[in-house]
Amino acid sequence: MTRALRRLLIAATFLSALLVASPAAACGYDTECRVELEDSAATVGFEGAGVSEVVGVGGPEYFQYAYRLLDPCLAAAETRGYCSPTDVRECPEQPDRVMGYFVVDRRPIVPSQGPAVEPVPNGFGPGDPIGDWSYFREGCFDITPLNPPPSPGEVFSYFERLPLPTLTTQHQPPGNGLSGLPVIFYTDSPTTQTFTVDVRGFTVVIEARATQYTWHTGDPASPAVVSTDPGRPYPNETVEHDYRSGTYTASLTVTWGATFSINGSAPQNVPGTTTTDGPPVTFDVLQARPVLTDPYN
Amino acid sequence: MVAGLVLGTALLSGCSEATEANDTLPSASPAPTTEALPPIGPADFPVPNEARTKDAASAEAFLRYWIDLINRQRSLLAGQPLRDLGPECRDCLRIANNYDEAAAAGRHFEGGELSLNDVTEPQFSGDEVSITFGIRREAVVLMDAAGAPVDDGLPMQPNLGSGITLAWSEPDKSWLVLSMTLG
Repeated sequence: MTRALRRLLIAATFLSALLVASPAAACGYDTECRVELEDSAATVGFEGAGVSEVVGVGGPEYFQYAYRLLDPCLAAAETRGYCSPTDVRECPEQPDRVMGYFVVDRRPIVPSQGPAVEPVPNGFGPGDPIGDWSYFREGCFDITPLNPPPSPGEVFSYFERLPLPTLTTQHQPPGNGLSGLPVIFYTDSPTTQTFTVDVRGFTVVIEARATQYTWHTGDPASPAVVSTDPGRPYPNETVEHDYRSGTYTASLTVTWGATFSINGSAPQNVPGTTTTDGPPVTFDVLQARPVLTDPYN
Repeated sequence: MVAGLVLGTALLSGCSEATEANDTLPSASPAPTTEALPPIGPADFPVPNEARTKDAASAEAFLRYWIDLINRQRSLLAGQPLRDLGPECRDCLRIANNYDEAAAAGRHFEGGELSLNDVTEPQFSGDEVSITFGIRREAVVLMDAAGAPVDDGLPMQPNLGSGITLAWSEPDKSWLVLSMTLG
């Protein structure tokens, strides 16, 4: 499946915490291919408890089948290898409800009560799937019960892939340094950034902020200086390093933390951090040599 | 000698009445012959004749052939025969694509052989028949061109609940796979 298609699927569909899905890699094999996931960040359908209620199934069929909702784009892609814009269907919006157009498949299972719709092979008990998935119906369904707000872990999976800025290392004195005179490091790149992302229909605002700065000095004697601030230029410097004469390449790795809010809720912490590596800068540190001069000459 | 006479007498005594010898030649009309079935399946691994009638035994024979065909095409890394016999089967197309993509990438499967366990009585609905069955899958992993595993693969599963729905094709005189789920 192409990346473009995956993005289309992400835009068109929703993730369910109720989804029972194996890793996407399993669909590369003959068996046990569940609904495919995109790094747990987006998916194409729902499977598991609750789907039959959403579909509106009752009576014996409630116990005789397992049901799943598939995005029509995925269903088309699996059948003919691609998804076209005509496969993406819209549903009328309803206040405070999440609506989606889905293809409903169902599969016979060994029922916990009542007769099975298919003969049960040896070795299977209640709840076990025993037949093949087949088309049942399609249409607009209210998936609000299947679509809980994004969990902190789910938000973190988005946060990890945000295009966070890479911070540039500034140093003083500009150009060459002098041994015995500390080199000052700082960055004037932005250290906060706000992202608004759509997660299964929820508006999630992620406020990212740099929480730690690791200055790679390029000096094997002391390879890193860690700070919690971005440093400042002279004369308010907070990060500096003494070099011996030589050529050095320095860079800055920034650790990012974040808070997030969902549909305007109170912010909470994203459970985890991520890092970005800034571009390296190379400079020489020269050995200062005293020279006697006659100020009156 | 005596035994031979006794046997001959016993055989002759089995004839209840004598029949006259036929003194006419057979008619010139040709004897009826079996109409050749249209070829279907790979030329060197065709759908067997016992799977080409519209009855329960034939449907089960087709299922057994189909599982053998999947095993065969997995090792050959060629998906087209699966598409030919399951043109509307979503999972068949997925598996066929897996094989073709593996071949294009220089990958191959190690393990993964499928073998049928219990196969239930086929259930007819018009021109379609569904069969539920258990299937054993050996451990399988996809290997890259250098012989390194591409992912963690899947462990052996002794009995995966599975099902298949077949549709009778009169022009082909054969079953075709309408849908299939393995595991």
